[in-house]
Amino acid sequence: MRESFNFNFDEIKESLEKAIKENQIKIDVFEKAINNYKKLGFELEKILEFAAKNAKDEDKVKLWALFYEISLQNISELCDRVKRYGESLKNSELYKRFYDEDKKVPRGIAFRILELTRLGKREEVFYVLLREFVNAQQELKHDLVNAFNPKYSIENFKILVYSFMSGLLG
Amino acid sequence: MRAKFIFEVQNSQEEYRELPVYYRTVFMAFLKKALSDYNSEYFRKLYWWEDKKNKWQKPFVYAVNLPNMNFLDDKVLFRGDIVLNLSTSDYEFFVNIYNGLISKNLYPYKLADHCVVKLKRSYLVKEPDQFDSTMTFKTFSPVLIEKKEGDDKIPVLPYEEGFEEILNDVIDFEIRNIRILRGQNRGLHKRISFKPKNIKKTVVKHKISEFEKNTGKEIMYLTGFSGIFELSGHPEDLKEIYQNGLGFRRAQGFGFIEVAR
Repeated sequence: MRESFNFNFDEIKESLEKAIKENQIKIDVFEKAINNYKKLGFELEKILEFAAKNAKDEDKVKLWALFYEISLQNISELCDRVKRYGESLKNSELYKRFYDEDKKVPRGIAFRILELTRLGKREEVFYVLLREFVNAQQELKHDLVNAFNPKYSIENFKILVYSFMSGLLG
Repeated sequence: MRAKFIFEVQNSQEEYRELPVYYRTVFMAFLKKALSDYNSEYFRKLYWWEDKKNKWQKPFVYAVNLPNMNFLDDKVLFRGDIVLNLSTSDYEFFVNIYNGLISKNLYPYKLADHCVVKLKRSYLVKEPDQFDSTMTFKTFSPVLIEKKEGDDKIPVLPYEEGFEEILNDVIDFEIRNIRILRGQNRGLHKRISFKPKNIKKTVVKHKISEFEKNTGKEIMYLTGFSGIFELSGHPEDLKEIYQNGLGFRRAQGFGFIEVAR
């Protein structure tokens, strides 16, 4: 199940400062704050995209510029996420469809995806990946789906797919 | 994209399994449960408009295959696994419903009193490589085309006068609504022409809460058609119809079409 997102900067800042003052620093609280900060970046990107699509004239140009600024910042975070997602799928049913454990080599389908990605064939890559996920009955996380969003350039799309594949097979 | 989900009925000692005659409604509730459990935010966006039901066209169609089915009064008897065909042009919808349907928390799921199911397997169905300007289709579930007369909706069948005109209005509205969801405000590229090949009138018993609330009757009768027909138009429009279904109540299990080979 996907969790909903709530971000209150003042509340987070206050609780972190209080923890420092009381000498009760807990790493997981800091980690949570950083994760929420990253999530906020993605939420801002979505809102800016919506606003830019609905704006007119000069506002539209300015909003798109802001959108690209935050989007670029988010790409590197997304790369990390899809790589970690790939790593988390090791030893899953999906992994077995991509990697021959007896021969210790990636299967043909993995090379096919890499080649289609190199050629920038976004739709084909999505279809082949989706087919493998469906056959393996493996959950397909939204982070990976985001890599196929046409708002990202072909170069960014390639980087995201390579990140996922390197996490899965690396 | 188009997928099949195959469900096995659990703990049934009987050779024949049973579902209510309005089994499409049962599956509609099942899909809504899968979607809302997985992503309640997306579910609300699709089905609700603040505290009112969202009547916006849904970007998907489904059809249920019950093998060796027989109708008996208010029940439908069948033997074997249940196949749910699902088709959409919307990636976001597909990923959400797919993740919902494969979630282990959803099963065992009680479709009806004597019908508890578990997902057996799922796979993607290959779509045509190319859509032409004229294609032959067959129905997997009845197609409902209706016209408005005052407050009532009257079914219109292919041999009736003005059918093609009404069909075009219905498709144009449907396609425009679905394209708006992905930021394109565009209806049909070109008028669709309809040529019946082997079709028959179909009357279906259906159940929805709104009808029950408004009329006090539990079951509603819907008139549509099923069989084989030819559509001519812009290939992109035909692809959209193929992926999201044809006619009314597509998200309630009607209007699923397949390319006839």
